[in-house]
Amino acid sequence: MRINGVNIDDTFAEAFPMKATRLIITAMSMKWAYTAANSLTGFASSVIACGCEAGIERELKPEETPDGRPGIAIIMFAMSKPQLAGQLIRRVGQSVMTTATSACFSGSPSETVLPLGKSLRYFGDGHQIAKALDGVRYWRIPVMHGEFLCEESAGVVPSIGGGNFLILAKTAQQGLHACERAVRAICRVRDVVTTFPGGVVGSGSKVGSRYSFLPASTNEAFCPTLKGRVDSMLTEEIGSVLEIVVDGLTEAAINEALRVGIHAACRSGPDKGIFRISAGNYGGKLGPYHFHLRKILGCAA
Amino acid sequence: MRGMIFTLRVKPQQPLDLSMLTPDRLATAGSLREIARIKLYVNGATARLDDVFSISGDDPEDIELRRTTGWATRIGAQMTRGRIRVNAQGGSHLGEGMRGGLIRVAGDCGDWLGCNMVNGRIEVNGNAGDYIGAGTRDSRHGMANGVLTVWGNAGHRSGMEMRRGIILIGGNAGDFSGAGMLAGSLLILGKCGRLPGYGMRRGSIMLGCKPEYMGSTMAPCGLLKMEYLRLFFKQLSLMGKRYRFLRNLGPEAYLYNGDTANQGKGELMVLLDQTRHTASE
Repeated sequence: MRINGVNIDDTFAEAFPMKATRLIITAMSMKWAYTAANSLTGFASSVIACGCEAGIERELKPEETPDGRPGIAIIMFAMSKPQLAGQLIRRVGQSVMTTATSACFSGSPSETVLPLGKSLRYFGDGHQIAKALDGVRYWRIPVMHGEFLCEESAGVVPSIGGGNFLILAKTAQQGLHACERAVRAICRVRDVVTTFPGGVVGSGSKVGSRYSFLPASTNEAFCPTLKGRVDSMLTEEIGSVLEIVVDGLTEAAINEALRVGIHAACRSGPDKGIFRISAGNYGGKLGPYHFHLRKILGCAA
Repeated sequence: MRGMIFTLRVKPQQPLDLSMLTPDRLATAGSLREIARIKLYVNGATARLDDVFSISGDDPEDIELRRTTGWATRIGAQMTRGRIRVNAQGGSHLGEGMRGGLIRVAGDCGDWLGCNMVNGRIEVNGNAGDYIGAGTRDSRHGMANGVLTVWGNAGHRSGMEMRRGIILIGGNAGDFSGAGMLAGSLLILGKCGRLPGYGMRRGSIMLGCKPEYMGSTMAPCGLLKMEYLRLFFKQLSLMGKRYRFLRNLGPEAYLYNGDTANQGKGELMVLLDQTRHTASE
């Protein structure tokens, strides 16, 4: 299968179940909402060592936020509910509450919830106030800039992490150009985030390593400098491989994100150094979700 | 199905207890025949429902009362669901101990509106008497939740000792509004009488205008931008078309903490420049 002259490998991306929560962060201006959101989602690229994966989903207009201020929707993912609970409190407490004029609300209604304001309220040292509006409980925590407003709890929903595709290019520059285009396209899809820096993974990994203390290591089959030394998946003309990882709330959302992302990446074509699109999997042993590239693209066509 | 309409045959000259006329009670009665047999208390004596009202319709979840006067007391008391529309006036204790559902009153109503209310929503188009959302003499506190709206004026001691919930008064309110308040929110868009928040422990009082006389034990904090007010007014504005103007209010307000005489942690906010936006918009 080819799109714009780019080969699509007959393979699949392997993804696994996660727990997720969507937060709505508002502030005095979009700039400060971004400051809080960037701080919260910083160092949250992979559960391998960050504790969680998080990314900015989209900007919210004032009419879309609970307090009528500009906001940002972010989605946080973790492997389990307790892991997500710990990261949620740490990150909102240290990144959002400390951002001037910010407020934090739950953006994923669910019967399963994690404590948010319920835990953070103790920062108020007894001066905090609870308010219930339309059945939702909020905490007003007095802080030096005024008040930090926070919803009592955040909804947790089942989600999927690890949807991915690889862009095999002639040079890193050409690969990155295609990646940027793909990430821009994925950003327009709801319910998904790309958690790695700039949405692009420069050092994709495989599970395990020859060192017992390391849970993940370099994916040598896709390393251009190891061609000939290992069982490489790369042909001679491939000089750089970049990965785009997509976490999402539903299988359909990830399908759509991969579809638009691959189409955007393929727009460059072989003339601009994009030769192949592949995907990362572990032989189907790691996760129950398999995103077959040709099926995704074929369905859309 | 058509909503049930109850039209008063003769205007009463003594208190008429309508607490039996709720969607819950009518649903229990079942047939129209059984509903007609329901006993109402009229000044201590009992009377059959169909002797007092002419009845039509068959949906007990949707009740309409016509030609009622200030003598019609305890309308919707203890109701848990459904809707009651009062197309005339309501008497005292309207929505007393209400646990759910909606009551709409086209005209005025008496004292103790929504007293001991636990949940649900009451909307009065006209004026209300004293002690709205307060607790009755034998109760430990006033309304425990729900939303109570009076678009007209209210009497004295609105929201006295209220425990939770929201009271919105579109017009003016009398003295001692929010006195002894334990929590919840009281919003008065018009003028407010003397000593609002007297003895309050917690909760929020929001005033459209500076009160006639403020107690010296309410500690002033100056003019502040209260971000919570954005959330409060936006959520309130989503309650219906008539509430939409509320999104224009706040967040600047003169904040007072108190009542310090009662070691209170409540707050009283006088909204800045509220005069531009009125309930009649």
